[in-house]
Amino acid sequence: MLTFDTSWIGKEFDRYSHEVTQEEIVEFAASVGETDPLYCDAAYAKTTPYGGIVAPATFCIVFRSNAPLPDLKLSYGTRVFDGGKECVFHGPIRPGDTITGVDRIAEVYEKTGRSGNMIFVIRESELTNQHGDKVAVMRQIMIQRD
Amino acid sequence: MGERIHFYEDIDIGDEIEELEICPTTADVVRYVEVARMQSGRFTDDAFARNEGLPGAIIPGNMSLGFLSRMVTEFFPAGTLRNLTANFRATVPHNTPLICSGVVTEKQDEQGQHLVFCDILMSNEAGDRYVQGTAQVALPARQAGADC
Repeated sequence: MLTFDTSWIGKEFDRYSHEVTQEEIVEFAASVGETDPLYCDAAYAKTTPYGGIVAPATFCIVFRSNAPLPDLKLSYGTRVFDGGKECVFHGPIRPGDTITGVDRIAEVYEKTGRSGNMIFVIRESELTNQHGDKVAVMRQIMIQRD
Repeated sequence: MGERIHFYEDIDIGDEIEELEICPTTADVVRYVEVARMQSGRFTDDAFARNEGLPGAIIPGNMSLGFLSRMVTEFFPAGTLRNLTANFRATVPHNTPLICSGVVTEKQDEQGQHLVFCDILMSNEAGDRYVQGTAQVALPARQAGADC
């Protein structure tokens, strides 16, 4: 049966900032084979509605700290798996932006599968730029089991 | 260059997104984890990964998400990706031909937003499903009365 320290739900446990460079946007786009010049060609990007280079949507995963999860005092679950991700994209990320991320535990719940009980821990990261505009919210699904 | 969809009116429920075929090498993964700042031996070192109980070094889930995102945005070049979800069903090995695919499941025209919803999938050539998820894209609409 799942028990855990419910006081962590919704509470900020990590905050981090990162200044975006054009070089890392270009390199990130190339690393997944992106072909759209919007991500690498400043002259082309200037002619688009964006008015300049922007990052591919999944670039937002770059903004992540290495801080461990707080001790949730889960009643079981020694093995941890990355169960998936949910990303909501609110606005573009551009070279020169300073992105600040705030991490919280959004949810903790239990499911029973074919191989037994599993705990799902949802880590939510909210990213805003230097203007205070929200650019993305990511929810990482971590599965813990014995 | 394959088929591309620019306008909301040009796509229907049941239409398939043009597949993206890739075969990420270990060098590709090394390049990705460096720029994505997620260095871990499980992604680049077979021995390290085996010590963690994996069959060998694996492709990061976030990189798989990047390929699926690329497939969607290449097919809808005038669109804006609003939402992306993925369930990582199995670990993805290096140097394996992979197929990213998708199908349109829903369309919504509400409050000036023209949204297309898709189911997306990354599998191997045998049909084994590695990553399964959804994407939501906002597309421009043709102006009323326009011919093209």
